[in-house]
Amino acid sequence: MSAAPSVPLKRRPPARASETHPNSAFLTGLARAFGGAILFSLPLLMTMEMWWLGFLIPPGRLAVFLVVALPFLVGLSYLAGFEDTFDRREDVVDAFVALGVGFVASATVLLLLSVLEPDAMPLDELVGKIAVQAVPGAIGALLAQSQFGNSGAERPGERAVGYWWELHLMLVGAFFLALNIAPTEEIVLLAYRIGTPHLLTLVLVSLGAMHAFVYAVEFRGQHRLPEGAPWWLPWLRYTIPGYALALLASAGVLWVFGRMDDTSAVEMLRTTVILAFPAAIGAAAARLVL
Amino acid sequence: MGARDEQIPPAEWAAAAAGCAVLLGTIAFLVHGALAGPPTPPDLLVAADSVTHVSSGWLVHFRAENRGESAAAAVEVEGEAVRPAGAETSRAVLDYVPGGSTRRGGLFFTSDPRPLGDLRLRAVGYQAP
Repeated sequence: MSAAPSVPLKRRPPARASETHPNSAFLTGLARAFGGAILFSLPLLMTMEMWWLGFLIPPGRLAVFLVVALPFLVGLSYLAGFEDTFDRREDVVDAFVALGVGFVASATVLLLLSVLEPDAMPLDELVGKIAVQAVPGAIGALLAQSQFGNSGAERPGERAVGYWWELHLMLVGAFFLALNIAPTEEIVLLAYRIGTPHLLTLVLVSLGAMHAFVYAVEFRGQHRLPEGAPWWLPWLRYTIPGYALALLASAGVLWVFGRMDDTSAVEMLRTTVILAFPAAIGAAAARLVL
Repeated sequence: MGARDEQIPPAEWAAAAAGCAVLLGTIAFLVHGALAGPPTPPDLLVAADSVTHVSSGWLVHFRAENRGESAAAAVEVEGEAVRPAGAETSRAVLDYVPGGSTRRGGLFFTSDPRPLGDLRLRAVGYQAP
């Protein structure tokens, strides 16, 4: 599994040619995006269940996944960038660049590893294998901006974003961890084995861990509770909706990966709650790190 | 991507256009596949490629081709060598044979299974993945 790097780069590097020439600044950023795409999607690129999903996932479902991912990526593009204003055009452009990077990086690594065999596999399978990896690759490409970007203008974690953007941040973290864990067999195996008391405890621990990460444990980038606010306010505004987002992200990812097909409602719920545990941690970590 | 003032550099527009083209092309391809209707069931054809002599006897290399569109999992392949002394049957299991794809395997026999024309190879069953 991958985890977001914990120490963002903050030093401002000496002036380079890339800072005066917009094209070369972009190409440098593009190279960084490729690095980020590969770094963040390598665990999934080397997971066999993802290769099988290439030929198992119904094409309609994969198309829905790609379409739904696009607005999500536009939002992430705004959050990961350094501009204060929401320039729709720039963020849309960046999202498309990130997706292109995701496709190319995934195809390259899969070809390198011989997971893609263009002379032996039908086109459906090749397209499926690349497309299913493109979204995590795109997320990695966008995260490369916030983690490894060379503009030291703003320190990550100190950006002031509105409430809905905070929620989007949590969704990014939840979605990313869910994507990494959902494809494998272990998630359903845990759902089969786990007893209800453990499952309920897991819900409470997920909520508590989310809250602790952001408010109680003195990480750099930690949010301060506003003065005079009642203790339950952050729970109601952030932690509980954040957990709800973790549950939704988990359910969505499980559906895309076919873990919900022909399954009873009880099993679907159990699997979702189990996946929501790492997703919740991811949601909380995203608020700290991005 | 990276520090910029007001303008989006042309290289970035080009990259975004390429990304957009790849995305739309992929979605169109997938939607076309989805609209083509439910995939046909697995249709497995097994054929022998060659025979090698090995320490435990003979090895028949086979390939299993799935002419249907659906993937088959846990495909059991059976080979029957019919001869006057009695038939010998060997089995192998293939994890996945995706639609439109070929997977290879081998069957071991204690007595010479040649000529290959007399060897009956077939897929016996599979699991829906």
